[in-house]
Amino acid sequence: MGKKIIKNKKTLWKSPWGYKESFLIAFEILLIGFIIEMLFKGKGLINITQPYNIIIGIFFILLIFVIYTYFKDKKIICWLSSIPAAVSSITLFCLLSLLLGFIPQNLKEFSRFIDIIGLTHVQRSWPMLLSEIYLLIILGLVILRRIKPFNLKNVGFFLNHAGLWITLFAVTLGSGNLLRLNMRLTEGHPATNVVYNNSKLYNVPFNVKLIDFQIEEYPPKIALIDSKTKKIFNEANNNLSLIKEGLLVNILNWEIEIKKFYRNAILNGNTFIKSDVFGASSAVFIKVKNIVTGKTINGWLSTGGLINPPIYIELDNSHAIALTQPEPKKYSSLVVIKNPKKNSIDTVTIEVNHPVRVNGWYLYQLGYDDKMGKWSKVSILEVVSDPWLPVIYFGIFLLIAGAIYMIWIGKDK
Amino acid sequence: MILNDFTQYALIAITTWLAGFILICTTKNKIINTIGNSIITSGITLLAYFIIVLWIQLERPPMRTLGETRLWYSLFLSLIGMIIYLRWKKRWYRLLSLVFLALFLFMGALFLYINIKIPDNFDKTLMPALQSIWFVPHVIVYIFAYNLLGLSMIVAIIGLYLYYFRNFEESVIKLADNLVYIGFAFLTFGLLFGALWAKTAWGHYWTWDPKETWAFITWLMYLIYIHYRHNKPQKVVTPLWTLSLAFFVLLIAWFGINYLPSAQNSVHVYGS
Repeated sequence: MGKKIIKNKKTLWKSPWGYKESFLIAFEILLIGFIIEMLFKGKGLINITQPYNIIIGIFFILLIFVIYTYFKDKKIICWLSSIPAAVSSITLFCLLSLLLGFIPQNLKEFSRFIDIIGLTHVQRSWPMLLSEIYLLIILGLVILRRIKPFNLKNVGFFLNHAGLWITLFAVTLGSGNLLRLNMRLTEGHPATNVVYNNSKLYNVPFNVKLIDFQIEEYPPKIALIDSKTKKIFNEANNNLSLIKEGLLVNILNWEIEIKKFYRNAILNGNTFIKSDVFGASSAVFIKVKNIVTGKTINGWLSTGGLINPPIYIELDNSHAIALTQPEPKKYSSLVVIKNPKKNSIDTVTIEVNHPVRVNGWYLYQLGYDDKMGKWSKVSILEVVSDPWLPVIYFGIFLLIAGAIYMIWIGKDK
Repeated sequence: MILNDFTQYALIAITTWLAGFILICTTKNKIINTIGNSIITSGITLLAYFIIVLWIQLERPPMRTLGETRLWYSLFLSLIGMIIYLRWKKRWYRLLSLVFLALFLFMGALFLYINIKIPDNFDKTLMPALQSIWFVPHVIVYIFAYNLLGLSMIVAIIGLYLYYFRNFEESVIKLADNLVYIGFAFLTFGLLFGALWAKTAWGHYWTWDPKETWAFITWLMYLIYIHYRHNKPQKVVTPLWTLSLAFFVLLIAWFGINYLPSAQNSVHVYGS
């Protein structure tokens, strides 16, 4: 009993440092981060590009090795590779992520207090950077301390910790070299190497020419709407069924039959006729029967396009039947890429989820001219360069292996 | 479309769970217990059948809307509840294992009931970014992780109850530890698969999208638990409270973000 009282009386900052000291240090790091951010007037971090980030990275790794090799028995270094320190750094990271999760992030304003201490751009702020450095130092020292003797029991530990270290290290240092730019291509225009980001223009070392931009759409959906507010009755059963010729659905008190469905059609007098002319819209001929009154209405619905406005049918004072805008199923760009470095000319298709690689750059299908919809002649690509990606993937690979190990072994006894 | 019959399927499943559970509770007779188990299992199988048919009819995996994930949650909850009950009923007190099963079946039934009350518009369309080989593994590992971690939260609450009102048993927190380890590993998979997928779909592996941020916060919470437990194995109250809180954060990541002002532009908020 007497022993316990003495233990409880351990004064703050008396070694060995525990959770209290660790959390206080993490809190100080956070405060220092806010102060530095304020000194820079909330402008956030500057991008550190090659070769400076590599130099800083090598220096950082050397620093950890030197600290470990020469000072590993010093009390402060022992504390830095302890679990309380690790928990404090994870908590700091968690706290910053929480702020990021609650406060809407933007980089456009710099005037309010929360902008100046970095809370509206947490991921590019000094507190975040310091918390990453704190975590990387602790994690680095822990790995070095546990790596010897290297045995089977250490494998899971090494995979998880080294994987996280490598991933975080590469993400932090590589962010300065990450380029995410947009390229706007128009059918029929000559090849271009111009890309842009926030209205600044750049050139990439290859030319791209858009041959054809294609959108494949789902059919529109039938929608029972409130004729005054134009809101869809979401709770009604069968509402928003995909249009198909011959479809028969009951929505509330109405039985709706799809008689005709034209993907592309234009208005000709009072009826729609099939037509693939530029700007055509989807049109549906329906028969609606009110189950209660027996009253039947026939008529055309249209999604509306560049030629005619949307057309809907009023069923009674408060209900109307309409079509939703068709959703894109797939969109892709057929492009010719001229790569002077390899002296090659390739014709490729770029599609969502299927980027194309050129000279270490990745080309993604990003968007198109929304106003034109399926008639868009414009395709917007995202052009990405991320030289640190292989390192990040290596870290992720280690983490996945570590997770498999965890499932296999569980918590050791 | 099987979806129109969802209410019937759900009610039959809930009825079998209730009936089977009552049978098991009333007696220790081996034959009656086997019958009870079979009845519960048939309800689970029916739910699995419903999901498979729905998958085929929708022509896409039913994993997009909240309603669809609730179906999976219900399936895995009842399944895991049953497996744990069968595995542990001999080692634990019968009462404890029955409480477990009851909780799981109740939660499974609750999710089915929510789906009856708030039917989602299960439509057949799938936006281009979701059409990827990563889609199914990404969602499945998350659902699996959520189940295991949900389980760990229940264990934590039982642990806290025992600690404050009865005698605490170390086996309870040991069970929580194992659930967290496996659940955390699946959470890691979900996060990393998501990152790899995001790279091919949106050009970058991490954009601090609100869903990503909250998933990451959840991951960090469990990371704290694991380290603290490793460091102070004899302490139980703080870890048990941490586990309960961590699951609350997980719930924010799962559906709470739909209501957060900071998440209105999230790429993960679907089904509007």
